[in-house]
Amino acid sequence: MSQFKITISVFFLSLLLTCLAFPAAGQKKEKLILNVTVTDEAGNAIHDARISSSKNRYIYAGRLGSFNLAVYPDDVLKVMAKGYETKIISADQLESSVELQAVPDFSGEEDRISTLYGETTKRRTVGAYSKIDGRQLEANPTMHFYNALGGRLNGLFTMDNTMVPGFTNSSNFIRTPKGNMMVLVDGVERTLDYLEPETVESVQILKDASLKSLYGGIHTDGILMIKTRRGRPYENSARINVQTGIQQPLRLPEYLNAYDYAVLHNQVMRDAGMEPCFNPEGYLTGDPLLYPDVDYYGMFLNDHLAITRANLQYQGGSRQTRFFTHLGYQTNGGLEKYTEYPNRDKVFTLRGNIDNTILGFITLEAGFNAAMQTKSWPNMSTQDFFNMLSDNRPNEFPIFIPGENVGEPEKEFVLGGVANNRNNPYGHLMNRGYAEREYIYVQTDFSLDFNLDKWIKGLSLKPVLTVDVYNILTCAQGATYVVFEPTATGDPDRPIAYTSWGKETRETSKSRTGNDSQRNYAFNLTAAYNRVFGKHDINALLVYYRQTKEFRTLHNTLKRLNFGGLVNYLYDDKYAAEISLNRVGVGSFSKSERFRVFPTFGAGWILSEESFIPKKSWLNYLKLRASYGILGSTSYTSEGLFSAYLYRDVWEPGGTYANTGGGFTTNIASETQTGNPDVGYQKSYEWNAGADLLLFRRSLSLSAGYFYNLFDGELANMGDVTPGITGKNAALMMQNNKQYKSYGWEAEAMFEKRISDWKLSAGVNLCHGETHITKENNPPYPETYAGLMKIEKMGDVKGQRVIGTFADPSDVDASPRQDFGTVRPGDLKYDDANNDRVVDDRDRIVIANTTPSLEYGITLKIEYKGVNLDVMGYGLSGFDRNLNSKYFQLYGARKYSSVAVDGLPNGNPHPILRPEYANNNFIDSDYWVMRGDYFKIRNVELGYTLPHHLTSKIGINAFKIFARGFNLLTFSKLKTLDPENLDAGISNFPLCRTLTGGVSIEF
Amino acid sequence: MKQHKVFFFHFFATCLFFLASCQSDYLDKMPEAEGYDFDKVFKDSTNYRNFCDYLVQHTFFLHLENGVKPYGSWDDVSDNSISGRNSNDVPALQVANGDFYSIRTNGNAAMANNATWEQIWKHIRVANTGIMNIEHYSGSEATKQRLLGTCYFYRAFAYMDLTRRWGGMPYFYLPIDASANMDYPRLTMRETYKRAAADCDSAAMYLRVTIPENEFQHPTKIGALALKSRILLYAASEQARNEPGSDGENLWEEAALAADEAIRLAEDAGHELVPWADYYYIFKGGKPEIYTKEVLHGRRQSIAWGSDAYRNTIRPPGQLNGQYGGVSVNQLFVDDFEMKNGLPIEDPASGYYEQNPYVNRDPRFEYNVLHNGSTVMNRTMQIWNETEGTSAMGSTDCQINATGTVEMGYTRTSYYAAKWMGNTWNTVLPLLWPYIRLAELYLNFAEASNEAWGDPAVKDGRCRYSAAEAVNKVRNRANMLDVNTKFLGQDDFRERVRNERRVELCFEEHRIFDIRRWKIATQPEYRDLWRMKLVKLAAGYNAATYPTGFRYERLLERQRIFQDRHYLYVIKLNDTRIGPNFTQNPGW
Repeated sequence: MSQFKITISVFFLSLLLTCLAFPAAGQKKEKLILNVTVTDEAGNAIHDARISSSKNRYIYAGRLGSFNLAVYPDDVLKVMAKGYETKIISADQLESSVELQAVPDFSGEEDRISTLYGETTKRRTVGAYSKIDGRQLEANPTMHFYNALGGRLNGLFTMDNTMVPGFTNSSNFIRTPKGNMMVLVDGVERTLDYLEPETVESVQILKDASLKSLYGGIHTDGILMIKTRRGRPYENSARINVQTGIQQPLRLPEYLNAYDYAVLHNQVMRDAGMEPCFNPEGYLTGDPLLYPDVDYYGMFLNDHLAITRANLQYQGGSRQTRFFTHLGYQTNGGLEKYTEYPNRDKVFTLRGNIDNTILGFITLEAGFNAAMQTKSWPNMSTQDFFNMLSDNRPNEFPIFIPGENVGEPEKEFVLGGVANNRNNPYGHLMNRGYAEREYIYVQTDFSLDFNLDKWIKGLSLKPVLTVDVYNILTCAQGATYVVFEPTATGDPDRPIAYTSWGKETRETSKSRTGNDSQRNYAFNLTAAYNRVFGKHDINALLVYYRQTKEFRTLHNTLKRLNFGGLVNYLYDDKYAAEISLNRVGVGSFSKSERFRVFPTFGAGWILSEESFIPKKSWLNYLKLRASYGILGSTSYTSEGLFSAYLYRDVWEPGGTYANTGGGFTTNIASETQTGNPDVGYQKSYEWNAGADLLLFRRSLSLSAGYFYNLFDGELANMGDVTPGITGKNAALMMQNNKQYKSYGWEAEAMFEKRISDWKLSAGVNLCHGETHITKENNPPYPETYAGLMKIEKMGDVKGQRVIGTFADPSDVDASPRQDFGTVRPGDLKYDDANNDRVVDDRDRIVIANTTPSLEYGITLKIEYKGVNLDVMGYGLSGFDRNLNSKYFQLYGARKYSSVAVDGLPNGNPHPILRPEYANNNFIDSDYWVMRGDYFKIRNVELGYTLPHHLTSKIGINAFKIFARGFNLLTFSKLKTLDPENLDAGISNFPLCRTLTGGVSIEF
Repeated sequence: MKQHKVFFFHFFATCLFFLASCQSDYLDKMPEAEGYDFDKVFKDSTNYRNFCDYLVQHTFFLHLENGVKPYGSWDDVSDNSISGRNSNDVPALQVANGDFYSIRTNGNAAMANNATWEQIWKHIRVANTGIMNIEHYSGSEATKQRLLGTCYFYRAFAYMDLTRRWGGMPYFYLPIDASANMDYPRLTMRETYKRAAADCDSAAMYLRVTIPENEFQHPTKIGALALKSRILLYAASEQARNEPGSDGENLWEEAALAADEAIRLAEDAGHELVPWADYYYIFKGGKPEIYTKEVLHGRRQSIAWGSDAYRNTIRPPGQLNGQYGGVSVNQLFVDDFEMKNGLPIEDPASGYYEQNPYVNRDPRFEYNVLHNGSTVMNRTMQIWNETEGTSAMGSTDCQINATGTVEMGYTRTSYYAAKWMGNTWNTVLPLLWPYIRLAELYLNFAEASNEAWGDPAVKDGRCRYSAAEAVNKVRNRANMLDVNTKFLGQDDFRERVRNERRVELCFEEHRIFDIRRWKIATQPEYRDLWRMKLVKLAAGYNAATYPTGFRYERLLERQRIFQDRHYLYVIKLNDTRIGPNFTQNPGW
């Protein structure tokens, strides 16, 4: 791998030099000095016009539409402005003014939206989507792509789970809690790992039936579609982006120190009528080997880790050939102290694509993307490491003991530990070996675009083939270490005796602990027919698609195919109609159920084009749109389409005898699935309606929508309702027997205004959605068993309702029996909801809903003379948190967090502290619930672009310096821990604030 | 232009080719995908055998296996012992608290959780499927018989384990249709046991009397009849006999005759109690020439020294690489080991002296229980709670941590169970789990015949032994004298047989069912857990009063909760909601 890194670095450097050398080479001719004004049809100057010069690799942005150009006579210039058609002119034909033709609202270059197999415009679509430009994502300094999306894409709910370098992950859904999301990069299911924002052209969510219709077989409430950059004709540029900074853990948990712990623990013991165990004074004055006080977080965590990201891009081309190349490098990590192998990763990415038109009508498009990650970490999971920090009590043992104390004077120190806790974090970081992972993926696309205009006007054909390969290798070197437990002897000559635990081993060779690979092949063929006959504008598409996915870990190859067609018809630029039919096939079902046709319908009406709306009014644009469709799917897992053959009875051969250690293996065969020939597609009936507006001279855009999805016949096995006495065990059959109803609304507003040198834009978007389970596998419980019934709304949590605490033993005796362990005075008293004089699971009610139902994002952009400030805030709302982790639920020898003193963040005091685990108090109940809503200033960029007239002198088109931040501020009721993930820093890596600074240079 | 046309043609040809393959067979099952279909399993003799082998190889729950709570022997949930582990999820502690409700869903509580419930029913289904499809079997007639015998044997075995845990169940002779009405009425325990006993007879008809050593763990005719003896003993015991609907049948006699039949067959086939010197190798050490003599149906396994499995299941004291809580033996069980002279310690003539309690006891005491002063693997156990004249708490093998609780890996009662501990430091420990061994048959016979015919010293003409002779075989093997003649009345003898059973079969998971079938578990002496507190005396102690240098003091360690409803476990709630006939057990 290291040799590979050198190779890449050399390659990187030589490419950079080539780019820098390029503008100077072979330019001997005189430059033309031109003064050009860009105007609209009426001759008015267009403010935000840009002109790109292919030879200079400059993009000029002229104020008030006027440009002073110095270009070579054989240069080709591209004149662009938002809302106008782009014009390509050669320099020697350029006159003093260039007139651009306005295009109707929402149909310009930047208003194109990608559909699954083609393109459409915002104007003519009947569906619901969110779209952002890739450039906006560059403001996000983190390494994780989802971090950048929440708040920017309306309808995307995302919450970071961990930020382990290289293993960052988040939970995401679209619109509603049942909002399974499909991620497509350039039309293919691909991972977002290591995708750099600098390579992204646009990110979209396709939300309604009409836009999702041609994706067969997978249930999704939204398709997250990423389009990567490709070279644009006559917009040549080379670009270097470098940023570096730090990531700081946010809101680490707080624990009592040894003295406070000992005092409180003694109190707990006394309250329980037991002997206190500690001598608190010792922690103030005693020998620290006998009375240690370890601040685990301070001792083992750096206060930040370093991150760096750099990349180089070169792109451009002509009408004939376009290209885009990108080389990236990123590294981050190093939160753990001491060790040479903190969690750290390094990623190289390579991306390139080329579009070449041959024979005048065939465009060959080839793309290649590879990422190589090397990651190392101490030989334990980050969960184990953080659990150590959050479990080890401050006074449990000293971390270091002088070596001479235990008769090993050659060592400066040995490690402390006790018999039943030998987890000394120092030992785990230093003496347990390390692990390493290498992850490589290669994604390739190849397609031919046949423009058959010459033969049949408007027709094109495009076969696309993609092959992706993912490969992971993991290796580890393990070792173990010895810990020493100090105990007081009472003997003044030798006051401390040491007992050693464990044994020391050194492994000399690495062992391969895992390797995994997956492959994904897709083939699709699209025929597109786009033609205008007078007032009739037709876009039609015919698609054949098939996909095969292979995993090393699964028997079954995942396969699906579909064959569909879609017609979008726009009449008089006013009335849009769309219809699609899609024939979907998946292998899960029997031959008779395997293929089904699913239709969608949609319509749009651009009201503002009607004569009854005055042309010059404050209302520039108003469109109403609606769609309805039925989509069919089979189950989907994290690994993809679920293509077990559900119609077959299955016996699994070759299982082995379950006893371990016996060394006896025999072949057995057992039934693993009962086939169901009648099982078929899950159907999702999706309604969607919305309106889009442009107001006040196009400075304010508004959009609002409503959706209602009925998801019927979810595939589920009958495990919950099949009695154990059948002996079927896990060999059950799948049936279409659950039903969900999801609905909600979304809205967004964006205001853009230019006042002299100030450019301001502000936007807000929000989405509310919820999912109700309208049919569920419940055994026929009687009324008194209501507590056992499944939840009826996704995200609901069931538990007991607290009605107080037990006052005294007679109160315990007089109250209904509580079946959750021993009950004593002071314990929580629960409601006997079904009045059967026993409090148990049957009395549970819904106590919380832990899934957010509202997400909102706020964006603000201010530009003034090269200075820009971008601020983005993201909030999630309408959900609860269950404070049931070890941080909140304390007892006996558990490490005492500040909750022991300050009470729970929801205002409840901690229930009576018991020496032993309080089964009765720690079950799910409303005592531990609090609102989870939070709002974060998620992302800020402050940048300054040097004036073009200065930088152009040294051949630089744009020179921008910037500072970026992520997770800067958090607002929530919960102040002590990160509301985004309450386990962060306790049983997993903490969530972080990221601060970086850097430059972006365009040549 | 012409070039274009050629290209065009090729292009369309390619497209058509792809579209032509757009057929459903692209989506058909791939050869590499999992799973056999019916014919592949039942019409292929090897696969049929593999299907039935599931019964043999896949136990419904694991004994002494890593991850299976209560971490070790289920005697922890009886009155023999309790786990030293403190964590809240150890079923032994939940049982002690009467919290059977949680055990039902506790993932690893294999003695009574929902998964075990389903696993046992799966055995019944597999056995029924094996029997139902036997006409398709294409192999030899001899193998066919063995497969049938195996299926009948495991059906009986499964119903035995179901019934003793959850009570009487509907008896299925065919795999039942999962989509039909499931509301089967429950039979009585007695009726279920009797049907299972009939299955043992069917199994015995088809199975071989003995099997080669390499097939050990497969059932035999002897195993089937031995199982029948246990099942009928359970059927005759108070818990099943006193259910409503008893028609006065002589269940004890049936049980006694079944035990006798099994004993005779086993002895005639060469089985015998192994000598006391080899007692260790019945359970450990991997010597088939020894264990196959006594064990009629068992299962072999092995555990790596120092592995989690070892620490979790064998649970040696912390000093012996233990970490997860010793098996703390109940003082009341320790009391049940007689003196060498064959008298119980409470007998004034026994010579037992509370301040020197571990001398002259039944040899099985030394074998099964580690106490202060026992030697194991060249280490002498040091177990005392206090040292007179100092404030020191505990000792090397009895550690109490600073928070006042017993350190994980140590004992709550001053004893450790040793039955499953190996005798060699740092080697892989081969184990043998004896489902049924000959000693049990003798005890089954003794118990049943004493109840049936009343005079333990007198031999019934149909049987090979008298009740006393049968018990004495077990006692003599352990170098114990015969049952003292003063205990040969029916009631006294009953007590001695029960005592013998507790001592001989301890930590083999009999006790939890024995105290249930005898319906004695609610009585304080079978419910509570006592410990011995040892105080190490300072120099100059009175050696006449305290000959060991320690003062012994009995203390109540824990009062368990055992109510009438605890005689049977809670049935998985979903199953009892099928309909009015399939009822939950009383009290739940």
